[in-house]
Amino acid sequence: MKSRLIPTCFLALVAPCLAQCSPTPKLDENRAAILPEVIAQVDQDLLFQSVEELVAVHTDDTPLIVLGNQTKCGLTRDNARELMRAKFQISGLSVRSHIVEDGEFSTENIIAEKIGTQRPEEIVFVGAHYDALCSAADDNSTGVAAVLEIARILANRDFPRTLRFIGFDLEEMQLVGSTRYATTEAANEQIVAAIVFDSIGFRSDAPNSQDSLPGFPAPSQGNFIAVIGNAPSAHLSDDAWLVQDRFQMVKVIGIDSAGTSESLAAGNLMRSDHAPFWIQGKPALFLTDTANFRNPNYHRDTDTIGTIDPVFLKNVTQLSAALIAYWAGG
Amino acid sequence: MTLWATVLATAVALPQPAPAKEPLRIAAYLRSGLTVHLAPSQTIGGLGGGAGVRLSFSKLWLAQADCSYLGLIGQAGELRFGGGIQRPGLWNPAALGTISILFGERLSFRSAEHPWPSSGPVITGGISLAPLRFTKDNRTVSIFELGIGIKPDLPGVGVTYSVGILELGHTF
Repeated sequence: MKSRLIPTCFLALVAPCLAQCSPTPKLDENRAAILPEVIAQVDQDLLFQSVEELVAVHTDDTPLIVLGNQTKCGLTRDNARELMRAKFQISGLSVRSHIVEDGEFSTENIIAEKIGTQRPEEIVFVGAHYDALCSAADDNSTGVAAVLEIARILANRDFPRTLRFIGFDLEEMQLVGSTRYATTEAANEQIVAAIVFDSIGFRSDAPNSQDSLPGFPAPSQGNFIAVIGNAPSAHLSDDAWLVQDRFQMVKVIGIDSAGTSESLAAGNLMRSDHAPFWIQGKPALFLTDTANFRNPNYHRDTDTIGTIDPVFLKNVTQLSAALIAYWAGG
Repeated sequence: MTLWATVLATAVALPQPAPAKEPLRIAAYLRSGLTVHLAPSQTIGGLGGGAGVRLSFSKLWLAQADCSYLGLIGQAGELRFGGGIQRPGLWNPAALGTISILFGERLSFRSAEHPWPSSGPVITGGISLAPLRFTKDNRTVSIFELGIGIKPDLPGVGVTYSVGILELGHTF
């Protein structure tokens, strides 16, 4: 017994050390070849125009509910959903709705799709919630605008894998739309990679403009995009780091959540539409400017178009478009 | 921490009855507490508990090893080895040098300085103080143990903080 115990203990300690010394991941150069062209196609003016249009339609919309007596802080969704549908159709994508009539609120996720040419059962998606509270510029017209821009750029290209562009409903009411999608239609699908955006347009170089939580080290300047993954998404985080390192688009801080992110401390990493996919065991990255940990306008009527940094939004969209194209090519 | 060390040093220095020659004694103990390692590249640890074995030599010296399960941040474990000095008697404070090995799930942080997540064990060296430790009739109770350890996390430093909530031991 003793003779077995010593080598077992030795292996238990040394094996993780060896794993730590595993080779550094590398980009697949064949798939990376198209990335410079994809990155160059991201149009800052079109992106910002989409944000303006989305803010305008949210402002004109009739709130589903109103928060307290702040009449500007109603939850709006219908106009933004129809704008997404129209823009997907202009990009030449087939568009459908994923509707669930259940409980107090029905939900309608909007889905545009381009079928893969070689492995259509393997799905890569990029999504953002289109419902909004208050003025909705950063949260989440920036995210929706990025989805629309990536759809515009990639709609005319053929990829081996299926590309999906999704607008999620009712994120602001405990992730209702994405949960219903992840647990029904997507539950038995082979989702191989995904990006979810939530608030990706607010940036600040001011000292101490970035807050964090104990145990989450962060720079004091809020001038980075957070790329958040979990253990099943670690290879996607590696790709994000490699693509950023190659093309130098935007400052990235990565957070890899512990295990499958079911721990209590990971709760703040589960606050958007990627969470239902993580719970289903699907790989997905969450991109965010960290919302209330940086943006003082979070869920206020001051979340207006003038607070958005168009260059930052463009750079985050470039990184994301490159990643989606890279994964769709694999 | 300095205050605890001073109290402990004073306690150990107090005149004691000349100890009789004591044989090696073995104790088993259960412990609960919080251990967390904070570094620029990772956070690992959490709240939990475990069990250990302690050897006492001539009443003053002790060596111990324990293992614990830690939750909250992820599923993690800690192996801890320590050796040090204790005050004989009812009030039985102790000070130990420790080596802590944390392993398992963690939060990893990627930056230009640390682009790739760590997966190996986190080994820190440090000290642990048990100022509120009491022994009577082969039974030991200790509350509010404090520990600290460090490990390079180049280009920074990782620090392991440990707070023992309750430890119950029995000497055979």
